[in-house]
Amino acid sequence: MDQICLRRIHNENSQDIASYMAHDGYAALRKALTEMTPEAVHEEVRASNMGGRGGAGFPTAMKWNFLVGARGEPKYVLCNFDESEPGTFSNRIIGEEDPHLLVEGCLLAAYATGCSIIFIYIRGEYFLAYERVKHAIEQATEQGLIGQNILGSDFSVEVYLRRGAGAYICGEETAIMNSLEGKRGYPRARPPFPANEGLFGKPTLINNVETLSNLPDIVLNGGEWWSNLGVNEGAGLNIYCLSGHVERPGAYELPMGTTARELIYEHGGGVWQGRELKAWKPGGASSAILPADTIDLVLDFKPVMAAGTILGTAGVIVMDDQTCVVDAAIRDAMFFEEESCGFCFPCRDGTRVLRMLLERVRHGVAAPDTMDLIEHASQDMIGASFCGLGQFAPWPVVSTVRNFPREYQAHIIEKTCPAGVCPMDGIEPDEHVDRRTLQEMLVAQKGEVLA
Amino acid sequence: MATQSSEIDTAAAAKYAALQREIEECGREPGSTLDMLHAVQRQFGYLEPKAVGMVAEALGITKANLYGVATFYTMFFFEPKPPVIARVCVNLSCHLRGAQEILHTLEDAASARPESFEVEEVMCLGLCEQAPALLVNEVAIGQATAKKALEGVETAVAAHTADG
Repeated sequence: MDQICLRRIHNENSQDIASYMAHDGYAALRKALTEMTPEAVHEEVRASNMGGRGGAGFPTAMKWNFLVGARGEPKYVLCNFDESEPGTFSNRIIGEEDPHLLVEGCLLAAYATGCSIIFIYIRGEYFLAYERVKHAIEQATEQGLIGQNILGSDFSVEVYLRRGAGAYICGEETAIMNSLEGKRGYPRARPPFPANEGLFGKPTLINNVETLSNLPDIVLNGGEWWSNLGVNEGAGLNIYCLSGHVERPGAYELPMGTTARELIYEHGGGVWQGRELKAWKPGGASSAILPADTIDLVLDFKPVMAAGTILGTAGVIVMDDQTCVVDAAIRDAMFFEEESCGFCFPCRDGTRVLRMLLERVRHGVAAPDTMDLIEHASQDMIGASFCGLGQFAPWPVVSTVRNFPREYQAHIIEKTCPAGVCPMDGIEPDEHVDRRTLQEMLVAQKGEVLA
Repeated sequence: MATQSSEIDTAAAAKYAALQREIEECGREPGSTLDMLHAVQRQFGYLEPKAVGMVAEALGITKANLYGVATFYTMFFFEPKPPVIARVCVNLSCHLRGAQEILHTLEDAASARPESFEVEEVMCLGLCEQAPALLVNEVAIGQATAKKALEGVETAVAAHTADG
C-alpha cells in the first residue's frame, strides 16, 4: 500500500523540501496553524485510535493528554529516533528518504501539546539519516517553518538534532532523556513520568519517528479516515519490517491487523529458496520466537500479546526449515548481554547466564536440567528487572525452549543438532556457569547488603 | 627532523582550533555533550585526552566525569584507531543470511594489516532488509558478500591513503 509514511520515498530527490512540498508537504502544518486549534489537532489524533509505533502501542492521544495538563516551561517534544531493535528499520527509511515528513510531524505534535522545543535523538550509526534530517531542519528553518511566529501564527518552536553513540538502552524513554542530558544512558524510575518531569526536569512528550510521521496525514484527512485504513479491528497503517529468510525483505506499509501469512507470503514472496517456514518473530529481538503454525496471527498489538508475545516494532524475522532454533536464540541472547546497561543485576547477570547456558547447549555439554535453568532464569529476569530491556530479554530464549522442546532435548540428551548447525564438539566453554538460579543470587546479594 | 615535528605541531594545533570552534557552536545549544564527543572523534579518530579536557571545560564538569559518560557508549574509542573501521552486524537477520562468513573474512584480512583497518562485531545496524550488512566508516554496504565487503574496505583504505 505504502500510502502514508512511505508514499513519497521513491520520488526523485524525495529528501528535498521542494519535492516534499510538491507532494502535500507542510500542507498539514499550514492547515493546523491557520484553521485548527491545538485541541482540534489533538481531537483528530484521538479519533485515529493510533497506538504508538515505538513498540509499546500506547495510545498516542492519551500520552498527549498527560502533557496538556502538565505544569512547567518550556515543554519538550523528544522524537525518539534511537531505532536499534534488531529487525527494525522503518525509522531509518523515513529519515533517509522523507526527513521533512518527520520534521512536519514533530511540529504538529509540538503545536498540539503546547511544546516550544523539539529534540530529535537519532542513533549514532544512522549517518546518512542524520545528514538528511539535519539538512531538512535547515531547509525548513530557511522557509520559516521553524522559528518564531511560524506562518504568521503565534506558534514558535526551536528544533535540535542530537546524535546517540551506540547504546540500545537509549531507546528506552527515560534512558534517552539521561543520554540527552549528557549522562550515562541508564533508565530512570517512574514516576515521575516524562510528561510531568522529563527532559531537564520539564514536561516532555516522547514519540517515535513513525508515530510522528503519521500526523500530517491524520491532520489533512482526519483521524477517522486514518483509523479506517486498518483491517481486523486494527487502526491505520503500520510499517512492517520484514527480514531474514524471505524472498523479498523490506519495509511494507500495510493495514494494521494484516496477518503474518499475508505479509510473509503475499508481500514478502514467501520463504526464500523454496524452503518451508520453521519459525518467525513478530517484533524484533525482544519478541518470542513462534512456530510455523502461528502464521495466521493478526499482526496488531492486542492479538500478538494474546498469543504470548509482542508486536513491538513490527520487525518480522523469518526463519526457514534449515535453521537451528538454539543458534537463532543465542544471537538474541548475545544482543541483550551486550546491550544490557548494567544498572540492575537481574538483567546484567541474567542476560549473561542465558547466553552461557545456550553456549553449552550449542557445544553439547549442557547439563540435563538446562531447560529448567533457562525457564527459571527467565522468570526471575521478567519479574525483577528494572526496565523493559531486562523484562523482555529472556523471551526470545525461553520461547524457543517452550516451542521447540524436542530440539533442545536433542542437543542436551542426544548431543546432536538436528539442523546440523551447532558445533556440538563437546568442548566446555571457558566461562563458568553459575548453577544457582538468579533468585538465589538475588537473595544472596540482599544478604550481603544487609550484613 | 625539526621541520617535520613543527609541521605535526601545526597540524595538531589546527585540529584543536577547529574543535574549539565546534565546541563553541555546540555549547550554545542544550543537550550537546555527545555531539561534542563526536566532534572530538571526528578530528582525532578517537577521544584524544587533551581534546576531551577541552570539552569538559566547556561543559563545566571534570574530565573524569566526562569519561564516565563517554565509556557508556560503544561508538567512542579511547585509543588511536586505524583510519578505516568496518562494523559488521552479527544479529539475527544478518546471521541468517551469512554474517559470520563476512566477519571471518574481514577479520582475517585485518589481522594481516592492523594499521589499515579494524573490524568490529556490532549489534543491529538497522539495515536488516539489506542483510547481511556492514558499515565501512560512515558508508553502509548491504546485500554483502565476503568479496563485496572486502572491496568496500579496500576502497576506503585506498581513499584514505590517497588523502594522505
